Amino acid sequence: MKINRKHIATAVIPIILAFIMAGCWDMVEIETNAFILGIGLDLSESEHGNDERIMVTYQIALPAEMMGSSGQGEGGGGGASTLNISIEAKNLMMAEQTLMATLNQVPNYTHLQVVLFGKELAEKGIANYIDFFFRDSRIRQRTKVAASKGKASEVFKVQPKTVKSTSQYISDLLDENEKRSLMVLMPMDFGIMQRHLIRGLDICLPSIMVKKDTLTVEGAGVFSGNKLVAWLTGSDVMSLKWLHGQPAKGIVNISSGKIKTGDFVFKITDNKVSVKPVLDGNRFIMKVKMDVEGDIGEIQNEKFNTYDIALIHQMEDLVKQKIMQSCSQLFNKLVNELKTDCIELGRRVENYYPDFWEKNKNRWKEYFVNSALEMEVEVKLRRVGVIK
Amino acid sequence: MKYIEGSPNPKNKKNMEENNPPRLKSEEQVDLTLDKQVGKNLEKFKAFLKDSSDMVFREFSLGTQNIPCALVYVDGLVNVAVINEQILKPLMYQITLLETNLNQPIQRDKIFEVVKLHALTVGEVKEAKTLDDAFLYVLSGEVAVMIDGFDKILIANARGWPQRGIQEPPSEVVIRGPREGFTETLRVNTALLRRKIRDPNLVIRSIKIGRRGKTDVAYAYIKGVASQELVEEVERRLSQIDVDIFLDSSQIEQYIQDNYITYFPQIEVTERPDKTAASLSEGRVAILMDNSPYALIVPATFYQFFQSPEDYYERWILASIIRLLRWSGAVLASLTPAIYVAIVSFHPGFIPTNLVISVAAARATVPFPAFVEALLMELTFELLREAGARLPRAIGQTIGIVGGLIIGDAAVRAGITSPIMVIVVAITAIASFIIPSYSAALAIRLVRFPFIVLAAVFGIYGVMLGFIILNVHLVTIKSFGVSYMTPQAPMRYQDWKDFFIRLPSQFMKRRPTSTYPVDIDRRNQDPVKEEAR
Amino acid sequence: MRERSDWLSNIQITFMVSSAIIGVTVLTLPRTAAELAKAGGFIATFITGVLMALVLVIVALLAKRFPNNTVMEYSGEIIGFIPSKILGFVFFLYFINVVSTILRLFCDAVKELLLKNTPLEILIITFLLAAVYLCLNGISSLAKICELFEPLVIGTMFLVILLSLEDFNFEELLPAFKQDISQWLFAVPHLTISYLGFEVLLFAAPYAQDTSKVVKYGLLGILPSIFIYPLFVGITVGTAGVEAVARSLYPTIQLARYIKFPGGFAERFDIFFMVFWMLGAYTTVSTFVYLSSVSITKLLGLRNYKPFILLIVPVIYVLALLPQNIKEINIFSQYVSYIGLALLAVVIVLYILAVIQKRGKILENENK
Repeated sequence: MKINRKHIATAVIPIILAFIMAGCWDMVEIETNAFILGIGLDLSESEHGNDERIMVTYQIALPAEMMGSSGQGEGGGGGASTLNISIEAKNLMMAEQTLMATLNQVPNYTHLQVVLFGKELAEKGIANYIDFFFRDSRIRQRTKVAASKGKASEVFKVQPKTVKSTSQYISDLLDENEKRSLMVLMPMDFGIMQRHLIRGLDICLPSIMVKKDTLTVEGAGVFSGNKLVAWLTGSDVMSLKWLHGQPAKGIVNISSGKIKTGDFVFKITDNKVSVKPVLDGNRFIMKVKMDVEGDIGEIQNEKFNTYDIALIHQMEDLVKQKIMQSCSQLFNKLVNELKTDCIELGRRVENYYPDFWEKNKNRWKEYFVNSALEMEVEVKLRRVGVIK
Repeated sequence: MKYIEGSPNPKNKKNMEENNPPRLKSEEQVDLTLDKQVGKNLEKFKAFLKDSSDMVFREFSLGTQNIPCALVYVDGLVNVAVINEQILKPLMYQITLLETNLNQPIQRDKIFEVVKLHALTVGEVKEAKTLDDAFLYVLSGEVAVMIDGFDKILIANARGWPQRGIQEPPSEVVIRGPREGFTETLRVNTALLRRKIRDPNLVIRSIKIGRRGKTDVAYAYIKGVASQELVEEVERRLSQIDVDIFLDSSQIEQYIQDNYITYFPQIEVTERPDKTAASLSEGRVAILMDNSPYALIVPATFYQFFQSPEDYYERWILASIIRLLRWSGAVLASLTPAIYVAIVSFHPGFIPTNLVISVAAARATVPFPAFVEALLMELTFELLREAGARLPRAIGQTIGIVGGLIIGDAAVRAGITSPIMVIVVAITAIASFIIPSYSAALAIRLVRFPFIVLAAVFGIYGVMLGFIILNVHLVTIKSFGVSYMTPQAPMRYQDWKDFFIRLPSQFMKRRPTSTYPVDIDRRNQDPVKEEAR
Repeated sequence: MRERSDWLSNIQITFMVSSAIIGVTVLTLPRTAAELAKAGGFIATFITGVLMALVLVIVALLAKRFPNNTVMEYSGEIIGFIPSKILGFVFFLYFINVVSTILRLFCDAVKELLLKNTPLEILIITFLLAAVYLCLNGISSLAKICELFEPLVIGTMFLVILLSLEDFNFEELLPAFKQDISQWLFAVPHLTISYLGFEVLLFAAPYAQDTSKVVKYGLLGILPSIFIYPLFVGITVGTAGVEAVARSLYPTIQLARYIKFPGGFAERFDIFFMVFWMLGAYTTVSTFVYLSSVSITKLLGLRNYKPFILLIVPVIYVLALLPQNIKEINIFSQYVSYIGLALLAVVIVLYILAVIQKRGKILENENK
């Protein structure tokens, strides 16, 4: 009997149908998903023997409340539009199991916006809890990571008025305003974190502070290895971004008695930074070259005339000095006081001097504390606004 | 070199020229051969035709010798004026006049020739030697003239029956371009074609199909452009059809196409003579059937179903954009519901967070899983569409709109479906109407149901698997020896000028190669001169 | 330029070669390159590509010498009957194993990233059956599908490359220029795996319309991969850094996951990428299923390969399920690629022998 197409079809189709009828294994309807928008990790209060336990706070979206009854507008709706569940467990996967026992929906990490580390946990070390986020395939690599100055669960309790969930709020803030404000650190997401940690570099996470129902993302937390060692203020962050090589825009506030205009604010509109390490003998010099262009933002004095070349040069000078001063200040702090390389100097050394790095990468800290900073800054004041 | 393989309908190889012998009661059996006596011939005619009241039998006398003659025709199929003025009058009057003027009667054995050559002032005159042939002619609207003393019958063309005038084809409306459409009379259609191509190389051959229908089927091609093998293949397939009657050319399509199982049409169907003429000049063969305003064009590839004559009448950039729109319409029409099911049920991570929240909120009240919802809504839409097609024009449109909006809205309010699903169904519907060819649009639209099922089982992996299998299937179809997916697979770069976009007319110097035309250049040629060489 | 049912046009040869090469190994290629050649991975990949192109030229020349037969048939002329049968059997084993390895790798990735709960067996069977459906329709359909899908696959790869440029940091590649050439050459043997696939020339050449151009069009087929693979490696290393790439299991997917859709209308670019790359995996799997059935058919001296396609389905299915975990899959694929390299070496030897023995269709030029 010759096997022709009909026979094959008769044999194959029932097999396929049988499989299809057996079920759709992966089907999870969208409304049965609990979209976890944010995760907060805190050190747990209670002690269970010698085990370290963490408190995981899940911020879960409630779509119905989020949309409101008319489905439009994002004004502060009555009632919470997210559900915060705190679960105590040994690690993240155990916490997920308990979550599934608590919630009637399936946890879904694909829309995770933000992961927060509480202060205590950060001080103790985050290494044990990071792996889950790197390994799981469902988590977006662009999820933002931040450190909170208090407990992470407190942060999630804040109900922002402009968006429906805290996680979205933080994520949007970091996305948008990071480019515009010098006080906000550039966002750290899992992709970048993974790369740094693999190389043994240190990281800085943006820090979040809760004050009476408002959130501020200002400053940064400096991690040495995986432990939090210090907090940097907003103004420190400014220099941190520059040393990182990020063309950060924002403002520079000059208050100096030397200029007849009094205090003024310089608004940076364009910024080019290039960082290069140079090996000098046994130590590294970090050569930073900055080209800054900007306008006058605000002058705290009523009567004067900015339409004056000499004045402009003077202003530029002051700004230049301020920049160099704050950068070296921060650099010294990092090198001498904190001894953490969160400005990615190590990475640059690896790229520019690969042989050196091969030999010495385990002793990078020793070289780091000996490095020096050399800055070349060019400031140009272009425009002064619409009035003189 | 033969490139067309396989023959459809391997079973019917009989020559369809064999007629069904007519059945009569045994006492009325007549001999089918013609007699020399006109009375006996007329009796034979009447034996078969007397039951019908629209048959006319007219006996008259010819010339001074009063030779008995008879006339048979079908009332309603003939132009009576022609009969009266050009057949009866010359025969009854002019012959007598002639004989009087010559002062001698015409020899009886020559009268047939004289009538045929001198008297019948009718354009088309034939001789019928058997009763069978005579029947065929008479029933086609011609007049049978029997003269006593001869066993052959003169057939004069006096055709004239009621027919629809030339109108714009309702299924292929264009904004710019000729508004002629084929009608149900074969002669009119061939005339429309001739008007567009005044090349003596345009050959229109006729055969009759159907044992009882004996419908005239003509196939047209331009000799020297269409490949000989293609023409022979068309002839062969047409001659293999053995049926009773055919009512529309689509029935021919079903017999001569390569693959009758698949969703997808392999023969292009059009009502427009300009489209037909353009296809002929590309080296394809057009098949026209009497009683059907639809012309079949072979061979056809998948991409031709996305072409509309308007593409060539408008500016090329605009036409290209519209054509790209059609492509996206085809993709949307077949894949949108499946992708919706795949994303909503399997991969909500694919869409932005805000959208996910709103979809989840919208679906919170819906009791069914996404794919049940999708299947329900799509089936409902198909029902509505089919119902709307049956209703008279005015109501049909309204039902479509009413059905779409109000029923959809009511369904959303009742919580049976989510608003997003209604949008998906609406997009699918609108997208499917973009495709110019009705049968291709139908195929593309109905292919979405298997996709929905696949998406429900395997998510986006299933959709992709379905896409792959669909492509494999499309690639294996051949239409009269030409691969269905030319010019994409096999790739013919020359034909890409008219594929996704339409390049300016100045670039179209050659005919498309997919049909292997004999003469590839459109320009710089003079067909009459070449023939004479 | 007539289209007989089984003839392949020149462009189809190109696409068949290209689609057989760009298969599943693009997933893990950056990891191998970064592990072995560090930042210079992309240079090493490029060198490997050029070398493989040369090998392809030799393979194509061998095919050109015997324009009407597949390698199974004419190897008997060159090296004798028994060695030729052994060679044929090795080819068969190689092809079967390639199919099962690729199938398993791909379905594993799908299961990990797209459909976590669907049983692996189902994924494998459905994919395999779809490939079988194509092969049952003949080599002409296979070539046409390659023509259809390859441009989409290559286009998606370029899209990935373009969209990653935003995060690309050229500094990461600087160490490459300070490296020693020996470091690159050391990596080459392990990178050849990714370029394997053009053995298809040996079996497809008899169907080519114009065998004299097989060399040129085959070379065109390997060209896209010679450009895309180094670019991929370079971009992956440039965005993530050498260590991260060396540690990541599917670095290409990692790269795709980091990409933001322009305009943000969709989130997980890796799903989008997987979907198009599925077309690439499909063409490779189908090509090798076809090759395995043809090789066993010719080995047994029969003519109709279609029943064999169905017969080897269970074999492939069992083989695909054999590796128990990721590490074993890697080991399997290593061994398979070593066999592939060995086969290529044998083919080169075949060619040299054919030249020496003056077998095969000798072109007029050579006679002069």
